[in-house]
Amino acid sequence: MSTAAGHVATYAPPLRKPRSPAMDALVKVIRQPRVWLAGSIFLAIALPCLLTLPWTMNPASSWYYDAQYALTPRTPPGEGGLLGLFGSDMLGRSILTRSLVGGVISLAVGLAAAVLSVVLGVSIGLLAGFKGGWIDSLLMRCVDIMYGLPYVLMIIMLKLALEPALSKFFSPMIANLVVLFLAIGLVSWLTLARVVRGQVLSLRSQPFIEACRAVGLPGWVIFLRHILPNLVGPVTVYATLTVPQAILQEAFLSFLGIGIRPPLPTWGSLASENRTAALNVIDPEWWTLAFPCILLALTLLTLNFLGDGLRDVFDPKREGNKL
Amino acid sequence: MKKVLLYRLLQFPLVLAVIYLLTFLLIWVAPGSPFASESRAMNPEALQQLAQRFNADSSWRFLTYYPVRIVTEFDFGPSMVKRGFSVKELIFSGLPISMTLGLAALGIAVVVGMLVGTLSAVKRDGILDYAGMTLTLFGISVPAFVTGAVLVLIFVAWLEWFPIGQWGSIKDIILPAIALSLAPMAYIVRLQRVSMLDVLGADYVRTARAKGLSKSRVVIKHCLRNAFLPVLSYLGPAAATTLTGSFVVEQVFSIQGGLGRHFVEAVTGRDQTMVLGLVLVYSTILLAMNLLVDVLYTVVDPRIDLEKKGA
Repeated sequence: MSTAAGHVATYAPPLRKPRSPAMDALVKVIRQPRVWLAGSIFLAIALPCLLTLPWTMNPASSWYYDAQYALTPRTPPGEGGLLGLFGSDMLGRSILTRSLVGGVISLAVGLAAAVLSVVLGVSIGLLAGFKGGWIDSLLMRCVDIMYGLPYVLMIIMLKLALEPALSKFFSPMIANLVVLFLAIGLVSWLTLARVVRGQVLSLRSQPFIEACRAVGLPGWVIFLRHILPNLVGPVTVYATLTVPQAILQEAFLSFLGIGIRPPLPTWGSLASENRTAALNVIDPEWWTLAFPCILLALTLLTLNFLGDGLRDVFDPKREGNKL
Repeated sequence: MKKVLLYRLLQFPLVLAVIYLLTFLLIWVAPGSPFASESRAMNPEALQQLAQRFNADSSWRFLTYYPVRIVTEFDFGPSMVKRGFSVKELIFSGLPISMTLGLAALGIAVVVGMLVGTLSAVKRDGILDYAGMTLTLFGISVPAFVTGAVLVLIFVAWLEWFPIGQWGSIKDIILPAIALSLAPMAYIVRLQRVSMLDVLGADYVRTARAKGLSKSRVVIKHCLRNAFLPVLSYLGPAAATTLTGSFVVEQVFSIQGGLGRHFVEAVTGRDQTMVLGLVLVYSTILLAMNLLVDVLYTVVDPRIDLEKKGA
């Protein structure tokens, strides 16, 4: 490769091919014990929920999530075999099967909302950071204003406004789910957009990007090959931390009775519908509330733990003062 | 600094106007009428008349009539569902409850959070540090309705130390305030710990120790103030968390008449004037809180002002 001046660049090939940045990150992630621990606990909760779906969603099965009188109403946990492992509610529905289906829905809504917010956050952050100028100021002012809004209220109102429009295209049940994740996803991208923008701005001023420009690489190549790979770290960390946030928002909405429509359960709506029975001062049926809540808390705990672990991998500077 | 403050104050009504428009748009798009009842069909003429009485017969009213009334007389109109009450009345009766709860929770979160955060930074890698970090992970992960339920089961149902469903004495506030404070507290502990660790490594702290000051004196006199800034900047979002978090806590502890309950009922009942009023009140509180935090920032750290002038 010779340049215009006829000067031939001397280049000594490295002895061993260096690992690609992606491979390097992957190896670091796999070596982090917290990622292992949190990941396996998360799978231990999520897999049973997913794998039992053929039974819990089959109306003919006694494991159906809405099978009333599958057990004697108000059975405490442990009486009634595996189906009654978590006891039953006042309609005789097994808390176990409802928690399993609730888990699938909670996780699905949480994941979908997180994906939406990551896509929105990353693309808006990239646009603002890479384009700069008036696009940047406009987008960032919008983000500033949205930060000032009481965003739980916004989720609630978005859900109300979007639901009828979507009901035209989907069945009510699906529309309900889609609206839930849309509403949550549409308001939770703000932090990520700011983080991505900041990263892009600091990357843009670095010498290696300048070198790319000097060599004459087109903008999109710089963008794809040199900017995007450097964003993988922070985006992964924030995405992992967005999932528990989204699940929490969904639980919050369903707990208030504005989220999922009964009889479909989520962990939040299970907590809501069993609250009065479980917190009854005279004869509390604690199990109806305890098990969905424990599952929810445990899931959020592992996901946050996972996010913390990933942050230590991708942000070694913080390792000195680990959170 | 004054310039910045003025700029922010001028932005205030603008942001509120945007929020009003957004809220109006969302209400307007959402179907369902506050006057229609699900159980029986209503005469369209009667509906029309009702709507007229509430100034809701045309969407334009929300753009022409209400903004003027709100600005001139702080009047959001009558509640469309809770007949006979004006939105203003309902908000002013609920605001003290929600504010007391929110402020109590915020107070607990700041005091306990800073204490635990400071101690776990000073005794780094000690038992307290690990216990604190584990607890904060719980605080961030466990939703308020779960901690609330656990508190009710233990302290109300089992130990019978506290009453439930009452409001008035300090005893009624303690449990809900604790349940509400855990999430912001967890964040404050983490922030305080990290910023304290940074400050403890600074040169002037070493100097202070070297000239013979005791460790506790250095921490209290020299470190706390400097480590407080990140916590302070979190107070704005924390106020939002406690204010909206009170929806759930009000339900768990059966507190009547709070703003959270009002909002949920207004949203499900399509009480348009009530929703608009509540969103505006919430947003005003949030914006005021953020502004206050910015002002406090310069009070706690006078250098910030100078840096801005220099830049």
